[in-house]
Amino acid sequence: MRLLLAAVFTVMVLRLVQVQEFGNQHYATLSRAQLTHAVTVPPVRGGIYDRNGEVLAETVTRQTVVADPQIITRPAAVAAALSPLLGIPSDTLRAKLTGPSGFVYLAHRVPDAVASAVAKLNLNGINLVPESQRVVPVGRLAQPVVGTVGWDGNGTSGMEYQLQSLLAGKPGTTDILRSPDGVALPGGNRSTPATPGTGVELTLDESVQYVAEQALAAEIGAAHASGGTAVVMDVKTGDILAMANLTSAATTTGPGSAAGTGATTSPTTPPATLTAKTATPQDTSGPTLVAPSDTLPAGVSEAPSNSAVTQVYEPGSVFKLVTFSAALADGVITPSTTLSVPGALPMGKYTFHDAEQHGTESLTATQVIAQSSNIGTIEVAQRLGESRLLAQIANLGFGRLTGLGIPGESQGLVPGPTQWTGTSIGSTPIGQDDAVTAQQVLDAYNAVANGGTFVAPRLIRATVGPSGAVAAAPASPAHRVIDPATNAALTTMLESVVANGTGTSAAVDGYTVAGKTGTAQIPSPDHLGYIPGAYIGTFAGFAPAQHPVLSAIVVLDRPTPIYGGAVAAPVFSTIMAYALHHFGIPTTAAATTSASPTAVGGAGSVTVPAGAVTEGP
Amino acid sequence: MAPPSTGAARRAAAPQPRPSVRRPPLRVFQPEPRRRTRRGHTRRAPVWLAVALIVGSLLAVVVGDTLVAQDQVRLARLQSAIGSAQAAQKSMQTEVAQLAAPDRVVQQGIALGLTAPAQVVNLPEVPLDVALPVPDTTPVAAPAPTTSTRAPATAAPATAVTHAPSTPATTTPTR
Repeated sequence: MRLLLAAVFTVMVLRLVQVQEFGNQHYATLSRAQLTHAVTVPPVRGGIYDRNGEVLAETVTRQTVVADPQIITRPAAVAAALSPLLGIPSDTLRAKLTGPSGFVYLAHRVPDAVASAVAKLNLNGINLVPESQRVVPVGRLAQPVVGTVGWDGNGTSGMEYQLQSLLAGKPGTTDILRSPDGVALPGGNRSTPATPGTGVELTLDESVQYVAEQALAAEIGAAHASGGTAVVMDVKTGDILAMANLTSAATTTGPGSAAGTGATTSPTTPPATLTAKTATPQDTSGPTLVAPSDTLPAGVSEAPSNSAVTQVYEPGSVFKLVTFSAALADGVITPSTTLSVPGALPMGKYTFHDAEQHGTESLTATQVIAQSSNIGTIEVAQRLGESRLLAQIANLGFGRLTGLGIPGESQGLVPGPTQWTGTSIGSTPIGQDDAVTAQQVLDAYNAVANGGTFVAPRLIRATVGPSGAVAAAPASPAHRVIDPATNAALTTMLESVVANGTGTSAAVDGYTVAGKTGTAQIPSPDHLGYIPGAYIGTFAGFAPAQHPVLSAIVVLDRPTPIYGGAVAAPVFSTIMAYALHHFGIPTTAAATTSASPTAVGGAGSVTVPAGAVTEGP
Repeated sequence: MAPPSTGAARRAAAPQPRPSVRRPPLRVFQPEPRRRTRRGHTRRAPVWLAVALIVGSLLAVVVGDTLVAQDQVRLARLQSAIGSAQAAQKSMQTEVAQLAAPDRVVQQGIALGLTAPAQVVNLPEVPLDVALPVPDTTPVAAPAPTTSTRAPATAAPATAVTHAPSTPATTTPTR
């Protein structure tokens, strides 16, 4: 008997030793797996800022009010206490508080003051749960560029989508111990902290963006346009200082959308009243809290996408820059070359005309571009030749992506040698066979402004780490596309457009401006000609003309009047005037004003800040 | 129990007187009297010491655990406070951004009575490497001096000198 007991005891001891000494890790793991619950800790999304550090989008923590109806004994009293704080009818709350569930949401992401008031009530069964929310404190300013986030906190458009991996950060985990019946146990607080997202500093300037949107919106309303785009660029660095994309409320598609696709949307509603304002209600429950704003006039709103790079259109006469830059570079013309320009030019089954009827005229090359003569430009292109024209189109960045990396960006459509037809030498030089984005056109003009050096546009200026450390983004690549002598001549010719050509409305008091107007028809969706009466007006240029600092483009979709010089050029003038003053660019008053004939420092004596626009005042 | 039925049994059941002398203990041999010796105390000391150490250690562990738990609670409170402060900072940062938004600034300006200028006058540029024109120092007609001290003819009263730029400032538009 004793031996049996001893044997049993020995077996038990040996088993105990086996379990405690050799198998302890295994059983400890099993135990922990039963009790441990891993909770994902979401990272804080990085903010988006303008070039001066002003917040364009930021993630903040808000409190969500939740309830456990199963432990609320007096739902009517609780509902009555919460109703005035949450702004929810008492009956609605009481219905939620008497439901069979053990967890109900009462109000998502309430303001801090409301959360504090709810906490002070100390109601049994009412709790506050932190939730992240994207806040846009500047209203819908630059929304097509900045973008939006969805309910899951991920970017759905714009920079929020493009830079998702950078902004999002990495989630962390926290292990909590809980008994099988749900009671929290001490210990187990092993955690991997979440890695906050990296913030992004854009090249946009909040003030210039605001003025650009205001000026563009006013013109959209005044000209009954269905939409418009305005982009302002730093000549030297390629930094985009403003990128406005607006659409009329009467338009179901974005500005310029009809240009490339020939959609037949047109403003059929009465003209927008610019004095009336729309206030966006503050919606605290959505994934993004957009500050209430009455920035834009009634009837005008932010476009659904970044039309400056996603929508293509036939550029029209602004494309003549390509023809003349190549012709000057090849020496087939000089600014003073005289051309005989007839009133019409038959080519195949088409006949090309100028905007205004005239007889045969004798125009210099400068006059051809100043008056935006289609026939004169075609004559220049005929001297230039197909291959050289196509080479210059590619040279100035048309037909390829700009490098901004914006989702949905279009590279445009430019004819290649295989698509070249008998009339292409007539339509391509005047911007009729091509489909380009507004940003591509601006890039080409910016190259002229930059002394003939093409610099890629840039929207991201720096990244901001979780600790606040700012790391500058790499500079935009640049390469020469026009030789300096040709560029100087071309600049002078473009100055004449504003001085005494079709773009006089683009003039800016105190500064010389160079640029080009464009008025292009909108192709028909059935590819059979153009939509009658539908035009796109454009002005692209830079200032000060001889020492350019800023370049800009304004595009208006289906305006009335139709001419770029009448609708887009004034907007250019307004935006450029503000931007030049905003960045402290010295005036060149003596060159263009007659009121101060003895002004000190004429044209050519302007001292432009070295480099480019780096900081606002 | 039933009562005895016979006399003999009754006698046998009668109580016997107990002997007055205490019976000696039933021992084979008399053990040695127990003596409290120093050697006995010395022998138990390690036991007591061990017990004391064990109890003390357990108490120390309990106290240590308590202190650690207290620090953990304090740490958790501090982390919570830091989180709340960071959240408040973010919230205030966005509030400041909202207040400084161009749209709001413009609305505030309009509310204060500010209006956009009808025309902007650009002052002419004055390069700093060019000498300014000689100021007009023609003195205004001054009353005859009452003392014998005369000011130099070329010297103008300091307060009367106006450094006019080469281009006169004008309020008319430059275009």
